[in-house]
Amino acid sequence: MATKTEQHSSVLELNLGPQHPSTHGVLRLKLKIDGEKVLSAEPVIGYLHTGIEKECESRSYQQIFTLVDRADYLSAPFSEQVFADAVEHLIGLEVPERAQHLRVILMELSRITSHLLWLGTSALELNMSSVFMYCFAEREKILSLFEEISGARMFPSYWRIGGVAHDTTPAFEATLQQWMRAFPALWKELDGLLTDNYVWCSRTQGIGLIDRQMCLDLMATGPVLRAAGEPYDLRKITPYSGYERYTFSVPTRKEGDSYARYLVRMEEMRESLSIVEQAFQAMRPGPILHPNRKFTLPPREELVYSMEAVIHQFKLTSRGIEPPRGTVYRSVESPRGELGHYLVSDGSHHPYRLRIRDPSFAHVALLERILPGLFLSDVVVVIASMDPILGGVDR
Amino acid sequence: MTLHPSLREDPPNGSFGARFRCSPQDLVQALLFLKEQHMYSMLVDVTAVDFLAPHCHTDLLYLLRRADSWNTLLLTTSISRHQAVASISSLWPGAAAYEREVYDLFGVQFANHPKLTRILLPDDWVGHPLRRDHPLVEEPVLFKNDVQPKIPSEILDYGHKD
Repeated sequence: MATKTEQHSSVLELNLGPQHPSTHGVLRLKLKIDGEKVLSAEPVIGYLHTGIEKECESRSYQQIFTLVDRADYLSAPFSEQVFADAVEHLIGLEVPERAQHLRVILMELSRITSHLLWLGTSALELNMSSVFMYCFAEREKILSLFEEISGARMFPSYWRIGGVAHDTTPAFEATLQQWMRAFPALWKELDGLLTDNYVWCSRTQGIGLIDRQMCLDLMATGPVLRAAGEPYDLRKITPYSGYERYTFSVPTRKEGDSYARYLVRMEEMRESLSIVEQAFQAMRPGPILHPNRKFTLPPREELVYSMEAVIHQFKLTSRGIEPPRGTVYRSVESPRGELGHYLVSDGSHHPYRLRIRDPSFAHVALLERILPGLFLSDVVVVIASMDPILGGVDR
Repeated sequence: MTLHPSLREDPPNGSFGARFRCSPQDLVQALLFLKEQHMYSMLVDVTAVDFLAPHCHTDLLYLLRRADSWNTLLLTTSISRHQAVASISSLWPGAAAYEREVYDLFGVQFANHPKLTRILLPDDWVGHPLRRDHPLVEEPVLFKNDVQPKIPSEILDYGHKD
């Protein structure tokens, strides 16, 4: 029997992270807890700050792809897309249709890998390690596809201003088709493991409630906003890379809790698969890079006979492209929400300013509002349901 | 749309539905007007761009989105160095973290901010790195008993002399 003094225990300050497996990266939370109840929570970020925005101001446009890749390191294709889109917008470059389809395929595959990793680690937090194994095994297959088409598993650097770097290979197409046929079965398996799972439901339902108004106040986007009932999806609102060509729905839920965010992400994986299938079907042979030599590299074989091509090749690789002066804001629907690039160009060969608006930044900041009042064991569930990537938060 | 007296329209630009400018004193009023009267209830981003020419100043950018049509609006306000601007965390509580970042990287002071401290950089950091006159320096690799000074990066040329 606890004595009175033990019942009214003093407030304990607890540091969760930055080196903690359940904070999904180097996120540190300063928690004040009374017993198991969280009284206040303060997210502390910056442990992964690499100064990408500053670095971008002194790099050529082609070099920046490798930098922005590493901001949100689990969904690199989205960073590449939004940056390429911003520069192409500034120049007024139309991307060939085949390249658009290829971009969409890679982005949607990346969305699936990102959601799979999120699902696996979230489930692992509730000690469901089999889900984790299934997710990571499947993610591995998609990463192999990335490797096949671009040579790299996580940071493809596949985007070029005005198109993409490589065309598909027969091996890629065959493996992709095989994967598309197999994925629904795995999705069903994951769904069967979790959706009606008693432990999963009771740990996530009603936990970490964020309603629509809170989302708007706290600048939350992506699955968090969609789980609060708002069909906010930039692929529908401001279609980019030809998303208007595909038919897909935007999954939403009304509840706004961790379980709703889980359901939204699960549905999104199915929609992504459908988009990949549509894009794959719609792909026709054709160029994958815009032919404007001021901005895109000439094909390798042209260098043999064309002096002009050699000059362009030299200019583009030594100094890089020089987009016209101007400012542009473009955004894409990344797996986490609105990923935006605000680009200011002064007409030189590197950007004057590149602002990366990362969705996770807002999602980490709002933890301060929703964690108080929860139990300590729910804190990890809520962090997981926000799916923050600290590389993107800290940049 | 009927304009608030504090708002001035900027020339259109393909990637924004509308662009406006306002003076730093009218910022909160202008944003409140856009939020309440014109349904720009979604704040997408708060950021800044630093300029050295023709004079040192920082442009604060507020990116808003309308809740029904999702039109994007960019509100810009220009402040000089050491000039404070009102925090908008009373309108959008989520903006507080974004303002901290702008303070951290640009040194912009926000009045009435709940907690204006560094957010990304260490607390003892000197300077505000996204200002254009903050040099990009390379950190030497530290070996035992061999401490070398920071060397300014050679790839950077700001093209301005102070």
